Amino acid sequence: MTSSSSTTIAIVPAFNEEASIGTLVTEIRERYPELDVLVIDDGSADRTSDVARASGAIVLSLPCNLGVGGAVQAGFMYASDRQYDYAVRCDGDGQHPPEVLGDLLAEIRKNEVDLVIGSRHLSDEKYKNTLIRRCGIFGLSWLLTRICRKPATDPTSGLQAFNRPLLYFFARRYPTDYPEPEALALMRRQGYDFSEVAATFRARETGVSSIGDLDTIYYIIKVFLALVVDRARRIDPRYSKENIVEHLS
Amino acid sequence: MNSEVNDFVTQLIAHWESAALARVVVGLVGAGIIAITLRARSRGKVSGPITCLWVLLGAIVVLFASNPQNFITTVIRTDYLTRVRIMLGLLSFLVLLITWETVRSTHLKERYALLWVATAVIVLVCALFPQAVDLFRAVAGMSYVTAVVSVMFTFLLLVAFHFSITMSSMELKQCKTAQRIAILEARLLEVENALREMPDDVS
Repeated sequence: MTSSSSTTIAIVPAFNEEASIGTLVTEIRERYPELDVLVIDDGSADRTSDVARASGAIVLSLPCNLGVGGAVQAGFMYASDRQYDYAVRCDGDGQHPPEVLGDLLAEIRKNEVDLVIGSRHLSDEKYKNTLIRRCGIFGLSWLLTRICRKPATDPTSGLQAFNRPLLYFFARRYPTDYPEPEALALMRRQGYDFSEVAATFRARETGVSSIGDLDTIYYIIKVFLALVVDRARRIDPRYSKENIVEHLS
Repeated sequence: MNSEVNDFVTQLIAHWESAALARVVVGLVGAGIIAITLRARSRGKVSGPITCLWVLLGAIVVLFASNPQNFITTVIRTDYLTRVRIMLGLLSFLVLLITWETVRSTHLKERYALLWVATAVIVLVCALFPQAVDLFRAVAGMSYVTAVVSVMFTFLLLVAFHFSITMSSMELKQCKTAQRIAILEARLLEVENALREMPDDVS
């Protein structure tokens, strides 16, 4: 078994990233030899799966494109099934530099919180983005900070680390397209806690963002709507943090 | 009936009276429909009600082709409301028939058929008992046809909404299935690799 010895897994969702996925997997494996690397190929048309497998990653090859939410959740399911203690998510397009994973892992291993978010806005470097996106992120950040009663400076960041109870929860409940802000509100309502560490993102090397300019408007409306609807839903006691921690021990 | 409509009808009749070739072609099409239907029926390929519908359609076409003048004047002379009711009745009969046939050949699940049947039955009730729509007409201030169409529209909206819900839940199930398949595939690969590394004499 390739996965039995390690307690931490890196979850890398990738869609048509054959050009960069190999380097990313190799880099993560060299820098953090204790990590298992799991690449989720979200129904790519190119050779993403083969390249990732050749670089030594475990590969989940989804039969059709599920979007980043579905892909990442497949990773949570695998990690939860295999009883990993921690997981760190790092997107396959190369905008999450492997050197920042260490900060996230150190933070999550302190066992103080269930989720650690790598925030672009806590670091000194300015992250370049279009005006409309910056407005959207600012609005989301403002709303989520109020919902969570805790500062959430970068709620759309996909650079995150998780502990086992949260993996168990997300393996069963995870929003679909553009999931990060909604997931944050969802887990907070179920009693989980999060914190942020500063992280500098790279400009993307290859490929394009999964979010185009017109999609940004849809993104903002959809996420705001989802946040409101989630507030109106009842808390599911089966997946509350206390119950899951008890169940896992 | 106003003169404009009368002019149009006279023109229509005159056109069809003189168009001999067109009448022959239409008549042959009608006869062809009847012949094909009866042939298929004799081989047991279509059910009774569907045969009736096709034969009726063929007969109407043949009747029209043989004597367009009488056909058009007879149709025009009947009451406007009667014609609307006959059309609605035929429509609902058609929907019921298609629904029934599809459920019978197991393409359609009963739960989806229910809303279609309800739509057809409502239309049928409207056609058979025009007075049933009267209360709705009085409240909404609509004419008979508008009232019936809005009732139909409401039911079609329900059907469409039902589809949206079903699609959302199907999407979720498809997502879960895809994830599970990918995980099983990954685990199968691991088992295969482990087996390959085992010495031969063990197996």
